[in-house]
Amino acid sequence: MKYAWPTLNGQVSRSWLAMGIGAFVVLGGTAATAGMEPGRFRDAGPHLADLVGHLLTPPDWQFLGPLGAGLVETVGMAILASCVAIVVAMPLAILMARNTTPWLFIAYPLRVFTAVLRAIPDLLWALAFVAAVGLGPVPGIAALIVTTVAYLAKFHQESLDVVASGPIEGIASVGANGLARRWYGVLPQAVPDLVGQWVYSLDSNVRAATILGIVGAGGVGFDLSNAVKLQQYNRLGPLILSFYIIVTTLDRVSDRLRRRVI
Amino acid sequence: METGIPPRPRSWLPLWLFGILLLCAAIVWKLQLTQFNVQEASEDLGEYVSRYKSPSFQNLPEYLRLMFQTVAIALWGSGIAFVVAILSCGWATRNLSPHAVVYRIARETFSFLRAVPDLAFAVLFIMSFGIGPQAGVCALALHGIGFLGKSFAESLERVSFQTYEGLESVGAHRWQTLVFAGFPSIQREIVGATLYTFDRNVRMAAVLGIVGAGGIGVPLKEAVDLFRYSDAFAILIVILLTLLATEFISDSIRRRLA
Amino acid sequence: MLRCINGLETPSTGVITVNGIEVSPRRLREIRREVGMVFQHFNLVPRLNALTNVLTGSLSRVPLVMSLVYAFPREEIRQAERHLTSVGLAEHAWQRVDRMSGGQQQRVAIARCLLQRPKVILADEPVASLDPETSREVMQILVRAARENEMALVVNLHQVEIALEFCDRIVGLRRGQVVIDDLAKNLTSEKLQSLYVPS
Repeated sequence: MKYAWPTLNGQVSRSWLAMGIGAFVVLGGTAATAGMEPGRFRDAGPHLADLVGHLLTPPDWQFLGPLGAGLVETVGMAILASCVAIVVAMPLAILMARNTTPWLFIAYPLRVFTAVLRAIPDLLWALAFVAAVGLGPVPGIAALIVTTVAYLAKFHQESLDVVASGPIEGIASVGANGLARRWYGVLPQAVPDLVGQWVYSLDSNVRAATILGIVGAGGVGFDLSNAVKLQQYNRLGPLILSFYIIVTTLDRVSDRLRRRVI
Repeated sequence: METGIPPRPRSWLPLWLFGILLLCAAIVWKLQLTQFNVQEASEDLGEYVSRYKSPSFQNLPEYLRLMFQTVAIALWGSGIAFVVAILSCGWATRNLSPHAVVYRIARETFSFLRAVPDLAFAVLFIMSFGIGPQAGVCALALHGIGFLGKSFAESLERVSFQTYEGLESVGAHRWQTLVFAGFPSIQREIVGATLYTFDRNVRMAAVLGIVGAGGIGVPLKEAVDLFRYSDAFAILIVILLTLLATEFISDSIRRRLA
Repeated sequence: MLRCINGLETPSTGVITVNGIEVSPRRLREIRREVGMVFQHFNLVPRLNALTNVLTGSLSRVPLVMSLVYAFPREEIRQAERHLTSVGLAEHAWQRVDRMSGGQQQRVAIARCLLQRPKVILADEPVASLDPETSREVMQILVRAARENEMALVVNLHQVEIALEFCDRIVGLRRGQVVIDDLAKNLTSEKLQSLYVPS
């Protein structure tokens, strides 16, 4: 062959070959289960084109009012959930972190517990809560609180654990007791990270809240599933657009917030 | 005794805290949450939790099959996203993009794909594909393209410009600069972002079934709707174990490749 | 100024012509093929091995698609190995360049330049990041390589002694004006130092 590779034996490196073959095998083997049949895609083509065409039609102007209200509800849900979650997650994280926990033997069980809470997607929590307490924003907020507490506690705990030991030793050297060490030594160092995580949780919760409505847990998700069921294309366009606008505005706001605090 | 130290600057913190409390109160009022009786709700919740007595694994083979489908959906979604993102991230990189306009369009497209929730895409695709895993794969793929595209582009922009300059000075084509100077330098970031996307996609794929996009979400929704709680409990356990397993696998892959 | 010649920077006024072709964004690849560059900070790809880094020198003339999968014509690979040997790095061919010393990295960069087969080599402060002994080694290799391969070599330096020892002709610039332009053997250290003395 005229070509060769810059390796010891001139052939493609063994690991790249293995990865390529591995990917091929895995994807090929799962193609059928994942429904990857070209026929299905060919049939769907014209439908997709139709859909895109419909999405670009003039929006339902009367819908914009309720849409705005829905967005406000969505964002409100997220803010409330974040606030409550922050308040709950802080003490939890303090108990979970090696640096700050008064009793080590509860730190690890708590970590496992929050890991399990974290593993269940927020929509599933919402589904469960809706079945428990009914429709409306309440189950959605509850679901958000549970998942946010779970990952916030873990992030906080990690930040608390990697704090530099210097300042803590400094405070200990003047004879401070355990509580003072933690309050003045560990906590202040972790604050920039913690605030960044709070901002992230707000951002993430707004994204999540837009969707929870699909199972009836409040927010614009409900409007989305309605519009789809009733094939109200002139509402779908503004809905999708509003998702985009919310998330990008939120990105910018959270960037600015983060910069002001750090 | 005068010490000459100026008075302590006013701290804005109390004001912030008060503002946030006010905001929360406003939200509670706006959403009419005060109608929500905490006592009643906790009783409801307690009673609800007690319904999940013990998991019933009688349909286990079915659950396993659908869990496998869920993972398959995640694999294909992530795979397509990876390929497309690798091919297109070059345009969204400021120092490698052929033109400022191309850069802007590419970046905004990735942003858009990332911002729209997977579920929204899934619901739209179901309108075209009908119920089934294809909608799930496409939804995850689109969202993944947005996330990975933006992530790769940002990593490429963080590479020291000297590395790119060396290749530009020998007259390399833009694609060659990308392949020889760009990708090797961000290998670790590529692996991290892709594995993260896969993990996330498994989680999302389980959820997408709730709207009909295939996978284990379908029987789960059914079970909850029909109040078959022991079945739902069993399904949740299957989902949980699979999620933990995939996290473990991607962690080990990450450690070996990084 | 050196970076203007291969288009890495744009001059504020005036036009540069290389081989009869005016330097403009459209013809950059053509021009860069003929102009090789050695940088102060080597500008290699850190995570790739020495041989691959040298091979990047040939990217402007090997087939595009094959190069994107890291496949090169066997002849180019053999040439690359030869150039690596000529700069004394044969045993380090498979080593990642970010694990090499400054002098070794610059030698890889020189080998890359050679593989490119340019008409001119521009060296922009090639030894500014190296210690004095390594600097002389690298300059020796650079000048010898340019001579053996019949390539013009333009070096941008501020080390007066090195300029006098290795270069045939020296051009001194101060504030954008040509102040000295003479054969090296006609110049002395003092005359060159005057460039740096404020007047």
